[in-house]
Amino acid sequence: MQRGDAVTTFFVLLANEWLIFKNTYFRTRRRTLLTLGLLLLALGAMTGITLGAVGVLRAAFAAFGGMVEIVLPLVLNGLFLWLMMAAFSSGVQVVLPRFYRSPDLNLLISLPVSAQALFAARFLFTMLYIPRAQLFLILPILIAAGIVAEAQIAFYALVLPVFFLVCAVPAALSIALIIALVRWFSPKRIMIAGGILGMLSWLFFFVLWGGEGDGLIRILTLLEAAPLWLLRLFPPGMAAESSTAAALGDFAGMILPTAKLLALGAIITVGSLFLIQRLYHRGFARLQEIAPRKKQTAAKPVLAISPKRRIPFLGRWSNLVVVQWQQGLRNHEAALTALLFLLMLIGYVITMALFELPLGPLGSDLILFGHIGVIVFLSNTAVGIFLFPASITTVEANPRIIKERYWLHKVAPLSGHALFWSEWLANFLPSVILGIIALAALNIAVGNGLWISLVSLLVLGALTVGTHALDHGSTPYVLNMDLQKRETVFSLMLFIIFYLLVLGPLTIGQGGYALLEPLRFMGYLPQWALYAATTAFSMVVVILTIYLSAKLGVNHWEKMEM
Amino acid sequence: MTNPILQLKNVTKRFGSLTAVDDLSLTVFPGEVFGFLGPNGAGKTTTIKMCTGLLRPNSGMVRLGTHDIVQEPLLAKRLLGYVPDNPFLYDQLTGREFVRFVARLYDLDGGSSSSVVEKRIQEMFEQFEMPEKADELIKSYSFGMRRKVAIAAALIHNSQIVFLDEPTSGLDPKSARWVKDLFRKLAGEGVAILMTTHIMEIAERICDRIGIIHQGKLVALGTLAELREEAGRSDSTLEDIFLQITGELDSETLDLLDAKR
Repeated sequence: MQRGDAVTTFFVLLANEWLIFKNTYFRTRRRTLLTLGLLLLALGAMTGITLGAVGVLRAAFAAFGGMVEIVLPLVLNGLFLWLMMAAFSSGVQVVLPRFYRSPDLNLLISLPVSAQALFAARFLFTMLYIPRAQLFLILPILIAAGIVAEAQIAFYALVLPVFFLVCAVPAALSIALIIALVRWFSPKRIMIAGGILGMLSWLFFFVLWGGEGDGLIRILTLLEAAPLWLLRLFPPGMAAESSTAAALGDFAGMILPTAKLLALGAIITVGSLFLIQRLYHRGFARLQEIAPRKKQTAAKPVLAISPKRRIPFLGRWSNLVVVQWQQGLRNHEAALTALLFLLMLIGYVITMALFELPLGPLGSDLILFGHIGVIVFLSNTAVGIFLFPASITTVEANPRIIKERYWLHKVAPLSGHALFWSEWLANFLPSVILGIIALAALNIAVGNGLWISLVSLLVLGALTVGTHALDHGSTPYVLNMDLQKRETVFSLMLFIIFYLLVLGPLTIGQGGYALLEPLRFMGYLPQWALYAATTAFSMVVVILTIYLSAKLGVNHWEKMEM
Repeated sequence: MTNPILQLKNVTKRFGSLTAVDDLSLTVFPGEVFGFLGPNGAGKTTTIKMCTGLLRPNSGMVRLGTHDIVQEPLLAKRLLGYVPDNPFLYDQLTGREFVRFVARLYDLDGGSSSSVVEKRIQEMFEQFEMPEKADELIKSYSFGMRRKVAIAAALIHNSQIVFLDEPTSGLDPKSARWVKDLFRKLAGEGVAILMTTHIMEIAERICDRIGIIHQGKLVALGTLAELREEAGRSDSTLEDIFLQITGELDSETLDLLDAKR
């Protein structure tokens, strides 16, 4: 293969990736509008994160006497360090699906195209793909740091390139690491390691932003104690030095650290690209060999369910529930991923129990409700992954499975109601049990009283009931409207609105009495009435959500075409 | 005269500006093996999907037995079995568990005792020559075994009509032969079979009647003898007739065929 051919192939592959992206999001006018609408929503959420972070960062700046020259580099060091960790763990999690399990690889590798070009194109796109979540979450906080420090315009101009440069280093390293590890370790073990890294990254996040920046202040204190020259040897230190200089208008001071960061990013990216190419091809060949061997070992009779044994509850609803559970227990990949979320849940409870967070402006209830939100999210995700009837890598390889799995239900004489409630029941029961255990443990650990513990369990139950109804109600809608690619954003928005509508009034009712006191008329309202009114409002929201979700889900199930 | 088990009347299905099925009318009777042929993209799968309730027609009527699939989907679906071209099966279930699951979806447990259902499942796996595989996970099955399990699931509830999309594609000669024999046997028992295929030899050998769809329209319908008569070529193969009707046979070949006559 001529070098010129390889370069041409590389650009053909890049063009193809671009075409896929364009067709996915901008093929028709309707899709373009939808994409732009979701982008606007995302921008709105990013603005919200920025505003929230401004409040926390002000407290952190104040804790250091408001000295921007001292506190800004520390804050930026902490943020870029977090960005590195997050990008690394995200990289570890996406390499296997993108480099080894992607459905187009068998085709591409069988074609007479340059293997180097193929690898380089995939490498480049993965590098760009890795920081997508961090762009949404960490970039707004970096901007918030600039706002609090009253940074010069150069800071905002520099922050995005620096963001990508900081991400490039861990992204390239994570790709190299996983490709090297595939030679010795099974993909399953690597996935677990990736999940644990992800969990650590989130724990770091909770520690950093828990309370009113209490964790952040602790991290800043630790960073303050570290020698500056040592910090500047690493990408976060270089990025912090460069961004601080830009924020303070020291343009000469930003050139050297930016150049160092650029050089480091380039060396690590290009170095990784060339060093791991051969390893990649060997690893790919090895995984191809593993697959048939695994199939042979799987061909043992399954003894767990005897053909003669009757499944405990009969009827079609229980049939659907039992089958979902049977599959979940046997789908080792899904079970392990669900286990990781379970570990995250346990990790969260332990961390929150150890770090006694100071009370927020609305009192401890706000923090407790925040805990409930996180617990519901983690337990629901664990259960959702566990019960999905295909492995995650299969879904990543063929997202159409999300819809295709319903062909049998659709052909069978099964009503939309039966399907909706059976799916809801199968997911709700384990989620609520997990959530109750986690929340009860947290309540006991932080010494919450009986009354607030009972209220919190009630809130958890209501949130779990509602989120599962929303999830199963919106799925047929999402599938009918062909929104799979945007499902995450769509569902996230729905859940956020639901959480706000349920938790908002409860928070005001439980802890916001003092907050509302300045509004004179509230002073005449007895506390019990406020409790009752806000609780009733939240419960009505939950019941309405269930009703409307069932209606939407069943309606779209009946309309669904495949 | 026997009542038809499947009736399509002036059925049309559009996807945006594309008319996939255009004013199609068709009738299938119990005990009949009906071959539904057509070039790629002609509308075969779309028609089957409308018959099984996976797609809704824009206009026209699809009736299974006495039930309209749009108006009375649950009653209509009780009569049918469907085997897609490449069905999504639950890899983490065994073949037996999958068929049992489907049996319960059709509420067979409600009507007959569990042991009757279990016996029927066992008989099916024996009939399908895979009793020793019944308790292995589907993910370990070969393509042919997956196809057999899908067929078993389509037949478990004593369906009166079975729709099969390319039932023999990807099967080895032995499995393909087995499938063909099964269809004839089922037809002998009064079950109607509607199958699509690209293999003319199969349609020629096992189908009682053949429908050819082209660009969404039914362009030919009848027994092989009737199609030959219609094409004016009494000794032609189905392949020749198919290519002639769908306009994919060039004039040179047509001349050769005429000369042969």
